[in-house]
Amino acid sequence: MVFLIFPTDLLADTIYVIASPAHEDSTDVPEEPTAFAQSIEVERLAARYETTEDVLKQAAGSHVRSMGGLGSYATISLRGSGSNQCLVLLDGQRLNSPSGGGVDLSKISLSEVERIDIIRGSDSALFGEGSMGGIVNIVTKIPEDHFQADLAATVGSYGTREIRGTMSSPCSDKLGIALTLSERSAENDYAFENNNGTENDLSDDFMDKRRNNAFEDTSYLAKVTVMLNAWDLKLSANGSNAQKEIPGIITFPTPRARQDFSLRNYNLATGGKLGKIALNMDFGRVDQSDTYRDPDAGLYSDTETQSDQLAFDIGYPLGPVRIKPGFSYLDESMHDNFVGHHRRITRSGLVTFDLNRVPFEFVSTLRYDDGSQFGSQLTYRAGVSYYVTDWLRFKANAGTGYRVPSFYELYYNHGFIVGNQTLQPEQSFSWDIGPAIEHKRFGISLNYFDHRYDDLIAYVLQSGLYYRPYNISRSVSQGVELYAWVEPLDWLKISGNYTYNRALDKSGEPNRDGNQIPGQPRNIANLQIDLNREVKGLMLGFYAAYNYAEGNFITWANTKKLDDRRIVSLGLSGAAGKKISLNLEVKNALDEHVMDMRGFPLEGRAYYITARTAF
Amino acid sequence: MKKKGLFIIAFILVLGVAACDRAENRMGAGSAEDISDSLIVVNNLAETLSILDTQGKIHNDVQLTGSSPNAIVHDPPYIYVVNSLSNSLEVLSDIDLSIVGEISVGAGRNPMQAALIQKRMLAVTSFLTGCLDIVDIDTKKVARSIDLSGIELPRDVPEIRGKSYPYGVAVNAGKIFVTLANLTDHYGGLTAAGPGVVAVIDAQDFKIIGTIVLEGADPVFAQAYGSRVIIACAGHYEGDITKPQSSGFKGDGTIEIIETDSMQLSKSYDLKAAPFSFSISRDGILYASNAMGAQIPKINLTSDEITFLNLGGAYISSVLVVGNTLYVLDFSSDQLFALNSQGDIQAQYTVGDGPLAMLSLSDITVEGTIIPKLNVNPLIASPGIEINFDASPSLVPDGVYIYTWDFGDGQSDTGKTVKHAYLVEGEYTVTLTIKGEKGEERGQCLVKVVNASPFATQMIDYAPAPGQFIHNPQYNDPNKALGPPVGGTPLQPDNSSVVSLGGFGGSIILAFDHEVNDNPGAPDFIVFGNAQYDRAPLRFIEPGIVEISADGDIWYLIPGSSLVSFFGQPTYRKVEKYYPETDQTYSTYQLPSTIRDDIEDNQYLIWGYADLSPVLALPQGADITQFYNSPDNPLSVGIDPDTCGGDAFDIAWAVDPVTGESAHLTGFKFIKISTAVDGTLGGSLGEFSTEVDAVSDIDLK
Repeated sequence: MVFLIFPTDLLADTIYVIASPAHEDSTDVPEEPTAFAQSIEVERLAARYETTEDVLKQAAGSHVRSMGGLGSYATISLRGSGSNQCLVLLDGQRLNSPSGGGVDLSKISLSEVERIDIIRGSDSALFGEGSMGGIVNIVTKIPEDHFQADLAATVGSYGTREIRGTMSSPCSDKLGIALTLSERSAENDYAFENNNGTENDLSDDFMDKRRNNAFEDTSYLAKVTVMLNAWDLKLSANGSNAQKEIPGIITFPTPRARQDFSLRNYNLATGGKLGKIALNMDFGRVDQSDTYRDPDAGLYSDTETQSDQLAFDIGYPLGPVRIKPGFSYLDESMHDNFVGHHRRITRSGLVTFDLNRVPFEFVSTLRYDDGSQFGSQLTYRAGVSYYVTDWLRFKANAGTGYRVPSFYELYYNHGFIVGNQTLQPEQSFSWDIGPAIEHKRFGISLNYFDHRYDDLIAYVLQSGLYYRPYNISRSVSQGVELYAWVEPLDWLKISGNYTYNRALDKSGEPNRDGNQIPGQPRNIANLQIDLNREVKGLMLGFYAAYNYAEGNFITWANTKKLDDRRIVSLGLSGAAGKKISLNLEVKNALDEHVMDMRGFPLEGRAYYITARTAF
Repeated sequence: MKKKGLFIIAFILVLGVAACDRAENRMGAGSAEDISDSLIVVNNLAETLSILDTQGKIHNDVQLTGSSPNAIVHDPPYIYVVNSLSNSLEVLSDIDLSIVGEISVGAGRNPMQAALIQKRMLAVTSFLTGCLDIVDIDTKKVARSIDLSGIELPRDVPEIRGKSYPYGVAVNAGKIFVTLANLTDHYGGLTAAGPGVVAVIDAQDFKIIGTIVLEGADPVFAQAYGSRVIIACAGHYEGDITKPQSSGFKGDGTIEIIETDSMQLSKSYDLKAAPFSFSISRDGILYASNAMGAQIPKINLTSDEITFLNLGGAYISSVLVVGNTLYVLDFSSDQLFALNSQGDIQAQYTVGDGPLAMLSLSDITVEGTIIPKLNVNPLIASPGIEINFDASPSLVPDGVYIYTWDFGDGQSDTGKTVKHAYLVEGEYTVTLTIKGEKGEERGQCLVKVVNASPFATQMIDYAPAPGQFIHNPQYNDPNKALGPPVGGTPLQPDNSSVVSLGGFGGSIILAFDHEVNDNPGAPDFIVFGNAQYDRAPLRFIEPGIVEISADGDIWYLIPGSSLVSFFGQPTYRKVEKYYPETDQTYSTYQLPSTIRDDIEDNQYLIWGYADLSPVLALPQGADITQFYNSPDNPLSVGIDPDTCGGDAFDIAWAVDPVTGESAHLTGFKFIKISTAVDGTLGGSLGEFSTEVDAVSDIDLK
């Protein structure tokens, strides 16, 4: 277990409860359900070559869709939500752009990530609008209590190159610093089966290569932590610059399209105690810019967004009870060459009430948001956990969520799309319940979940062959998440999860109502076997991972479906002490040609070699 | 026949009935108010077809393989669907909607609409490339691409220049009329930058011979009508195109008429609508679709009176007149309406998601077109052999017609079906003339008369057992087994020349005009069926027992693999089956109903039967007699290179069915093929029924 200067990340601790993973030094499927959240420790994956989207792809209840290759647009949805209905945070700062759409996970280099917390369920009471399906909080690396540095390099198929360095050191007993720097690039010129638009006619099929699909980015993180008696202070800055070639869909390639993207995140957090009262304050700014050019189609878009966020709370313990009132202020603005300049401000007041009396734990939050555009929203959440024995507990959660219309949905006015300024926020309610068994050698966790999404914004064909969004749709998502692991021997662990997600359209529209929502596989499963054994001073490791996702429907009428995904990945690692390690991996070893979205083929078999040295 | 085109099999009977109804209508039995003509609806978002059958029932699950289907064209016996997202044309049989083939027009083209230039040749507008593509259905290629992007376009405002986006297309009197939507992406989406233009192209040499500037903007549809071509222009978008703003169509669409001969615009009707297509009734009333919804424009082309039918809806995507019924599609609510001439709703159906286009299987008769279709068997015969000439598949409007056959040897005859024997070797062009009250049309085909035909030339007996296809005229003509086969691809057989033998025991006896001799150690004859093969276990077969006879009296059996035990001993036995529905008993040798289709030791466990292997299409430029006598190795997996497919047999395999001993035959003249499996696949997939396309003598190339 990694020892932290602070018990856990300041912000994470102040705002919501993340129970420590039970087996955070393991390398199993990164899924450790706790009472109210799940936490994926990225450090334990360090020997592997992974991306943020790869890690999230293996989490129960989530579905990550990628357009293909390192750096390609990839989004997450949780429990049947749309990608824009999941709130993605970076150190507690919102990455969801007020312009709309899901958060592109490929923006975040995993080299700067300490852990990823996932809260599944409608939970706007925690962080405000946007969390209808759930919340993903990406926590960046934090300073260690001793000097630590490492340098890792990866080379792989399709021109993949990455070099990443991290350094963490205490400068004194009160000051710590953490730095990371990484550069990634890939040609992504992998082969795929092109059916030439004729699915059944095999005579004109050919092996094609993805073109204009290269990617490169640079990302950095600098973080300083200061401990002044009872007060902690954290200052951090991180960001990335990415240049992408955009290949288009198979049948309509865009041979000269480009996208440039930059992300800047600045954060100042402080917390401390005044007697029994715990105070926390957090201020952050996220700047994002995104430009897209396709000279052949004459398209050019340029979007800049800025989110300033201030949060403040006071915690007061009363025996096993903790009451924590808080306040937050969110200022979001956007400048776009199509939509123009828009801004909105949300002021929020919230109160958290926690009760922790073993074996019973209860958490709840009530939040009131007052937005400059959509007025007030009242949301709540509550979670309960009860240990029947020291190895069996039951947990249940319920909460509400909402999402305010994006600036694009409100103001876009080009071609066939016209925004609607009368839109109102989308609403959701969810609950889940299930048991969890935790034993030294095995564990099982089961959740039944039920999500209701209402007032969903759907684009409706208008008179004149153009579309306009309205709050007219509904959907429901019900299912089961199962996680299990077994460790029969000290050097062997088998872990896996399975998600059944019945995500149904309830719009009332003929040909759609009652159908599985496109892009939402009904069955997803992950299985992983890990072996780690020391042989003559050499730590040897092997893993085999299997990822199954039932094919997505690609039409609302459920008339067409993508192929199922069955991906097997294998890895071998060897480490001499803690200084040097070498890792060999084969991703998609069976060379399956699959896609998450129609027209966007994913990579076939790929090889990666990662060398890492620690100082 | 069963699983060829599994997903549409449920509609085969439905459409079979539809075909009969069409025939009745031609005889005057159909009612003008009848709304039960079978109708095909193209669902753009669901990527399916909906079928309104003759019973007034809607079927919404006919799957297309292509993406975002936009338009549908009828070219009997085929239907072409234009898929705008997958850049492909899907070719379907107009009888059973089975997918016959797919043709790619190339990535990034965005095909919009298509029109027939001639049989099997389509003009397809390529929206994103500014081209008109000429697609040859037989070769499955874009034969030619005509660049229209350089045509000068007028401007609404001087500073904004539009670009040519080919959209609608019509063919009339040897000219191709292509509408060029003159659009700009100045403010992000595409909108009209000026009046539309029509490019006129010579249908012979494909040169641009003229351009016509229209009065309306955004021309999106064209259709030939008599000596004219009529264009629908959707009109401008609201607002000022110099400013980035959009709010849908303005409502200044037009319907415009071009005189084909002079290539001049002769009339323009201003509509307060955005028409995307139209359909014209027999009495000259034009009904237009309307992207602005609510109202259907109705133009009397004789009096020029413009009125509107009020229906509601957000986007009337298509209209089609069939008889006195107006069919209307609402894209938003997925509804198909059937209206009478007063605009009253007679019926309403929920079709698939995003209905966009329609085709009536009787629309050809509505338009009054005669399309001769010759069914001649055998096409290769020897002197003195009687050849069957059948004009039944021809498409004609209601009325009385005279069918005249000119056999090309100085002889002629009249009648829908006639017989004729040639006396001298040679190639003869046969001309069928169908003459009615409103005109006549001719169709031709080539008959080859040789000393000895490599294909069976006589049909001796046809005794089909009960089955779902034996009452379908498309599949119950035994003469189709004569002459050469018509091949397809391993996955997509061409069913246009097969005869179905029905269920277990159904049989056909064919004869050659000569003795087929045994070539020691080599295959001697090939039987062609309509099997499908992808890779094991995706193999769809309906095995038939083959028996041969030198005199038509004493028959010898070809015992296939399943009729010989592991030790080489015969296990076959003759089985009789009584069909109470026909009160007849059929006898043949039986195969297990659970057909083993494994591959072991690189060999089929099943060989030595008819209808096991697909038949390949004749390659371009290949000699039909040479190609269809290149046998595939019957014992190897798949179809060998440079062979024609089908199932090859060695005469030496023949045994005496009583003793099991080798028959030691040196040759044969008669062949009997019978369905060997007694069973069904359950449900609508029907029974195992062997189909026969042709039989050939390998040594007689």
